[in-house]
Parts: sequence; structure tokens; C-alpha cells
Amino acid sequence: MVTVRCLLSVAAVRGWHLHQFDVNNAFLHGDLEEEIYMRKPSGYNKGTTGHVCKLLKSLYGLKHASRHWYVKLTSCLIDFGFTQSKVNYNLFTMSTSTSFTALLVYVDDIILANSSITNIVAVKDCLHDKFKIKDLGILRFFLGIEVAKSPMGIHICQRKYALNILADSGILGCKPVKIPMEQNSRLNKDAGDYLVDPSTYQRLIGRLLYLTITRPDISYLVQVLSQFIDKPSQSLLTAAHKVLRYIKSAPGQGLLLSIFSNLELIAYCDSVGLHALILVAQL
Amino acid sequence: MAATVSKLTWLRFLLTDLYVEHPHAATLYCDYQVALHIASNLFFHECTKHIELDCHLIRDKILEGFIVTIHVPTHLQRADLLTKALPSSLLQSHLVKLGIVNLHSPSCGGILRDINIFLNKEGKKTSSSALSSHTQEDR
Repeated sequence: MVTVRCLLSVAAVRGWHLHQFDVNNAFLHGDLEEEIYMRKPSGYNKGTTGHVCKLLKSLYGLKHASRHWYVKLTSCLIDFGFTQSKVNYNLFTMSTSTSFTALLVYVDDIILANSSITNIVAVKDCLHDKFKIKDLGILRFFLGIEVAKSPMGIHICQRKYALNILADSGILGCKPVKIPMEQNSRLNKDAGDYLVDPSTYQRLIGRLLYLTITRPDISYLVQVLSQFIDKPSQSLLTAAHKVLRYIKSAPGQGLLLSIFSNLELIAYCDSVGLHALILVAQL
Repeated sequence: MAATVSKLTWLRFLLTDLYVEHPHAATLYCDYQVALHIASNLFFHECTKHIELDCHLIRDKILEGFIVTIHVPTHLQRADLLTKALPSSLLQSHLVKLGIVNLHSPSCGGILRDINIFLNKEGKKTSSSALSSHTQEDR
């Protein structure tokens, strides 16, 4: 996700075109390296009872289906002229004298960033020949993140995702609060009053963790709350609901990647208790 | 601090892959002066047996000209957003500085303008300070 933010912030400054597409039935494209047999699917009556089917191609549900797909896509992209990044294997780049193309892959969702629109078409055509791709046009919605472009920069937020969390927790009509957590409040594990079914709490924290991609303001709290995930108590659930009420106050809040940034790395580090954190991906 | 430096190293590699040049050293703001002193001064080594490895990592990066460490007072420490529960006013000011805005709020246009002015100023400031430090080294 850091790579996604990084790519978007560079794209904002350089004014790259951002496109998005996904691959239809991605896992079916993988080639098998070994022989795999499966039982006949029910309703298929050819052959006698002792027979099994031999797989010619990869199939959804195989343990290594995702790996086969990854290998196939990587080799295909490298043949096309892309170089795989060493720091993040999801990132592929290709640069010529006139243009630069970056391609970011998440399983079968792909972001394509390019300085010229003609190259985008070329890459898409090539991939469409090999696999069938579904062109989603300009990047707007990627893995739950909404991307909006303006003359000021690129704004990313997870408004829909945040509202979904609120709706699923059943507190869509709650009163919003201004801060996610009172200062100096202590949460402790041995509060008693444990929840009968911890899975609701666990699921909620898992979703909040994903929300921190565009909302670093709640990341501290979510990190604190996630420490008690094995045995949550009622007070912790109340604290989690307070975070939700804070989100309710501005569900569309997100990161603005400005076009005026000068692409310099700035880090802030907090060493209290030898606890260091980088925070600014404000390149 | 060492973790931050490692992350910075990683980000720099990522930027290189995206063909973004980063000629200046990355700025590392820290509100913990003791850590800064240990990182920049060998004299303090005597009392830091247990964090020796981290210490050398940061020192090496400073000597390579990879990072510049600067002290920042606690009330301007933007990392607090990620490590503490903050009062409302401080929270809001940190949010704006980090470029976290609510696009759906009616006053957003003004905030966007303010952020861009702020970033513009800060950009000029950091690049000019980095330049001046370079020229000093040249001399």
C-alpha cells in the first residue's frame, strides 16, 4: 500500500495518466508444471466410475493457483520489456527515451501509470492478446480506495468503505465526535466483562486496520485496540465504537497528494520508549 | 529511529525505481535530543551498549549523506499523530500538515489552497536549506 501511495504521489507531481484494468478469470491462465488430477465434478457422467480428470490448466481452488498466475503474468510482462522492481515485486517499470511506464499489480487488479496515452493503449492491447482484460478506464476505485484527480492534486479516500463499516456495525445514525480517543485514557486488558463472541470485535478491528491506509489519524488507536484482540472486553468495544463515531464526523476524509510537493523524503521519528515510526509519505 | 532509517532507505530505492531523483539527503525530524546526539556524536557511545547496532546504522547513513537529522520540538512533532491520543486542536493542525483533508466538507476549497501554499513554502525552504548545506560541504 505504501507503494500505491508512493506511485500516486509521484504521478500527481509528474502529471502521469493513471489507468486501471483487471484480468478476467485470472487464475485460469496459469500453466501447470506438474500433473494434477481431480475427482469428476458432480453431474459429469462420462467414463466409468474409477476415472479421474487430469488438469490441463490452473484452476480456482488449487493451492498454488495464485502462484501460477503470478509466474505467468511476470514472464509475460518481462517479455514485453518491463523490469521488475527489486524493492516491491508488484511493481514493474519500463522506461524509454520518451516515456516512462509503471505497472502495479495486485493479484488481478492492475494500475498503469504512464506519461503518454499511446503507451497505455499499447500495453493494454498486448495484455489483452495474452489474457482477456477488462478495461476500467481512468483510475477511480482501486481496492476500496477512491481516487479523485483535480488541478490541486490527487485525493485518495475510503469513504464507501468507511460507511460500510458504520452500516455493518449498526451505528450509522450515531452522533459524531471530534476526537477518536480521550487524552490520557487507559485501556487495560483485565477489565472483566469479556465479550461472549470476540469475532465481531476482531472483524471490526481488521476492517479499521485497512481503513488506516488513507486515514493515519486513527492508526494509533487501532494499533492500541488490536493489542487486545484475543480477549476483548465491553469497554474496548465501546472505545472501538468511539473511533467509528469519529469516522462518522468525516467519512470522506483522506490524503491529498499535492502536485506542488517537491518529492523529497521527510521523516518524523518519535523515540520515546525506543519506539520509532515513520510517518510522512508526503513525498 | 533505526526502523525509520531503514524505511527511508527502502523508500529511496522505490523512488529510484520510479525514476525520481533524490539528490538531497532525506530529512529526519526527531524530538528526542539524546537519540540525535548519540547518532551524530561518537563520544556518547560509551553509555549505549545495548543499541550499538542501531546506532551504527544511523551513523553510517548520516556519514553517507543519506539522511540529515534535525531536532523538532514536541508540539510540532507530526509523528505524535501516530503515537498518542491528541487533543482536538493539535489533531486538526497535524491533519492539515499531513495533507489529510475532507473533500466533502464545504470549506474544503480554502483548505486545499492553504495546504498548497504551505507545501509550496515548505518545499522552497527545505530545498534551499539542503542546497546551502551542500555548498558548505563543498567549501
